[in-house]
Amino acid sequence: MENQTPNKKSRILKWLLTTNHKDIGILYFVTSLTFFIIAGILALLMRTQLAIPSNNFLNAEEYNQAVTMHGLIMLLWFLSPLGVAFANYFVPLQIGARDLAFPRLNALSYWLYLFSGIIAASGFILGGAADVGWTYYAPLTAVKYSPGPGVTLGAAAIAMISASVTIGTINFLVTIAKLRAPGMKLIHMPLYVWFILFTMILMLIAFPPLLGAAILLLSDRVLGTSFFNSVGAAIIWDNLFWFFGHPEVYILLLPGFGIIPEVLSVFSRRPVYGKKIIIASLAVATLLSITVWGHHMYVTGVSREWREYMNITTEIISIPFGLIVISFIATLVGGAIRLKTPLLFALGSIFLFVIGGSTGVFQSSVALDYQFRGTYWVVGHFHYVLVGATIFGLFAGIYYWFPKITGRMYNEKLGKLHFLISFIGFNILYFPMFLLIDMPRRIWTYQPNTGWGELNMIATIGAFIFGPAQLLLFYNLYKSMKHGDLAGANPWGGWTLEWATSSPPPPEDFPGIPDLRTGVLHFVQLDGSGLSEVGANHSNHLSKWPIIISLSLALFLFGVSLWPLNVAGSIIFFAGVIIGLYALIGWSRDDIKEHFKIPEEPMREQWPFEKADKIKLGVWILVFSEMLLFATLIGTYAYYRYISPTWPAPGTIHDIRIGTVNTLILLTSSFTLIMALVFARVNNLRGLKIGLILTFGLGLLFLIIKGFEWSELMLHNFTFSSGLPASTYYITTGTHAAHVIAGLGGLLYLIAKTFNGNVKVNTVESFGIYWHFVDIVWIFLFPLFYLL
Amino acid sequence: MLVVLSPSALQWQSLFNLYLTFAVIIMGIVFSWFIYVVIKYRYRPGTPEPSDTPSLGSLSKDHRGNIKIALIITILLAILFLGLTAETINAVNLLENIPDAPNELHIKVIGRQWQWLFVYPNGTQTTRLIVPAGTIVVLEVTSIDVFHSFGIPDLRIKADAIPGKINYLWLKVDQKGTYTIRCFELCGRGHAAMITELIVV
Repeated sequence: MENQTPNKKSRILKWLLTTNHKDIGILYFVTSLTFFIIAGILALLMRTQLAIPSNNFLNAEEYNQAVTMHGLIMLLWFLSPLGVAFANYFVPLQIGARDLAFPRLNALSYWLYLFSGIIAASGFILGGAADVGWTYYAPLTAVKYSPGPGVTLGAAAIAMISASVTIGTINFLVTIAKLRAPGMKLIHMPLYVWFILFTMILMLIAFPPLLGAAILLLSDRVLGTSFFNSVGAAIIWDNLFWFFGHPEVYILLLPGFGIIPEVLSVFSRRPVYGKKIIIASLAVATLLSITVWGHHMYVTGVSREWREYMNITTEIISIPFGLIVISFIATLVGGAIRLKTPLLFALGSIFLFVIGGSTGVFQSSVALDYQFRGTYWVVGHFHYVLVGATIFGLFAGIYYWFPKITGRMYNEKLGKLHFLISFIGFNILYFPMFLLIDMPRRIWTYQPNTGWGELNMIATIGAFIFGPAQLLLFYNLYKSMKHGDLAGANPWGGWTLEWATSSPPPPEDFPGIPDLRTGVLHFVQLDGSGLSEVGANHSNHLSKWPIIISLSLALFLFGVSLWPLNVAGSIIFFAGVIIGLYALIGWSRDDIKEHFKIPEEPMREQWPFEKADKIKLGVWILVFSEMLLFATLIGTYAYYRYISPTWPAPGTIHDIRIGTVNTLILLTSSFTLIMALVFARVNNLRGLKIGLILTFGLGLLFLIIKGFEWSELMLHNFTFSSGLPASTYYITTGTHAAHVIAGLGGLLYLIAKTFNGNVKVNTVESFGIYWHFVDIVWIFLFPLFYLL
Repeated sequence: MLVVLSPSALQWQSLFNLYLTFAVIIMGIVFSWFIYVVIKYRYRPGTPEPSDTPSLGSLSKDHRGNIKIALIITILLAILFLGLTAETINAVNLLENIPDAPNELHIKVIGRQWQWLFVYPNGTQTTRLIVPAGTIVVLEVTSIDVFHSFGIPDLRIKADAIPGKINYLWLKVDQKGTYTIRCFELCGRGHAAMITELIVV
């Protein structure tokens, strides 16, 4: 069915099965705006409740759900995905590619994202959504304090969207590394692509610890382990969460902020000022952003030296952003500035960023934080950055690229009105928060004698200006999509490559291969190479497996989340497992039978990754993110061992002999895989088969012994709920075992491909990177859990 | 909001004013320049188009920008931030180094859902914090259930109340009076009502 043409299918089916980056961009766009509306309504409910003191519009339980889900949905299911929507649509266009490197994985990212959002929000109808604040501070998240399903569903959703993000990250990094048009060196890439590149790097670093933390929390709530209800849990959660949480702020900001230089330069008719300075600043900010998380923990009682170090790094990180803002403004100098809607939003974004950034400098101060921590000052600050700078930047992108996506112009008057009302409403809404310097965040009500009534009323009025103003945007988009003036290919006179193709672009993006090697754009037609045929077929790249896999994972997580409460949970759980296996087999079959083929793109600019093919590069990036995941789990274990006075001595619980045997088995499997690779290189299919099957057998043996070991331990009352030594052992080695299982799946795929006769050496090599990595992880786990 | 004449509040306020001064100066300069640029280079009929507008598909090069200006700005900002950090470190010394005093009073502060408990050296337990004026009081803040945060906004002091961990605060108030104590970390249903008073007698 993968080879049918789309006009034979209904339109809806096409949207469910598409793997084209532009379609998926549109799906991200529509879905994220839907989540924006949901989370926006939650915000209006909260502002209504806080408008006057001692209000009873919402009660405490309802308010806590609203405040938690508002934060979670806005950050993870609206802001970031709207950025990804544009990245999906425009990164391939701007670098002259026809699609992302892995179209099906792109679809998988989207469906994982959609279903994870449904899981998160389902709490509202399943007995209460998460109500512990989006930061999920331990130990309030423990079953003892939050027994409802909401917190579990939220954690499951966070784990699932982390998977979506990681897959997307790999896809974008490989695309930017390997699919640039001939002649487009890295430095030639538009700044927007640079901003997305750094966003992806940050996501790659920040999300694995979040995934790790979510896995630990889920296991606490489902299996009864004790990671986040023990002494020390609050601090370990704080560290894991904010190691993700602070880079996350830049992850949210950069995709919106990256649109601004594009818009500024096109609407002032001048090249961006200081492109290299901006790129260098981005690199510095990216590096620094993983060293500043401690400023969220100033009053947790961590050492003074550490806080002062974090204070300095946090202040320093304002410097690159200062340079970026100055370069943005300098871009306009000497231009002929057209104040169209996209530019107005871009200017608004810069303006609000300066206020948000400056107030952030205040918060870097360890001393000033004694007052700010947990108050509305902080709420004001991050809304200036995340709503002001980021959403205004993304809105600039909506207006700027709307003609390209739809082929029609939006209504300029409505657009300007939308900007004006949003800008005014925004400041009325958020500025008063800087004056509520003693009002705690996340309180559902306050007393009349606090004196906070007037400022809260003003903020609420602002909310009811800013919120409904967004209807102007939706109305404008909806109307103009059908009735707007025709835009033509390049309505703004832009010069990046998306403007060099029709509006909307054809499925294969360009009328040929965009060639920039001479410095002047022309399109190369490659006849007889089979490429044009692939290009024509490009729109037929439909696959049902991404949506089915995502659905099965959603069922699995629903089952897991409801398991402690509901027998139906186990049925859902097993349904998820079975459908998931079916889909994975189907996906692999498509590959083995070559139903779904991604052509190698000729003439690509690939420096410095000419040697690694797409899959190998992707696996390396995956391994990097997995490394951080295991670092998170091992770090948690090490922390608890360090602070625990009574940890069982080595040899008392875990049998060192069994561990040694298993270590040897896994090491041997690495050698058999190397053997297989050697045979593959000399094209000895029989040897390759034997090598792969041996590796599979050894991996399976490892798992069997592990299962035996676990059941022995369980029989001797060393269970999930017997405290931290058991929790850390089961979850860390269990996560490793899950990776071995995934590796066995990969081996089955390779074996099937070998028997089918179309295995490539590169594929065996790429799998080898993963398998050796899994072995190396065990080489760390064995001494940590058995010998030390 | 009234500033109480306690050492912590005075120190905090002077540091805040310092940050605010520089923030206002910098925002003033940036916004003036920003608005000036937008107005000056606004397109009007007859405005000449810039000569360096890139053409469609041309490779963007870095032919605008001045590394010297960037370096100068970096150095100026670095000096400013190091100065601010130095001031912060001074303030932290004052806020955190408990002055030597022979008669300092140690009080345990215990957070729990949703109440603050105060335990005095003689074993007395109260739900309001009562301290004598002019005395140095050391608070040992902790929690027996979830994560709370103990704050007295009028004095500009705050410490997270974390189970299994003790965080220290000190205070000295000369004016007799009543000051509000609140919880600053979402701790469940009763978070908003986790309020009590500091009474200085």
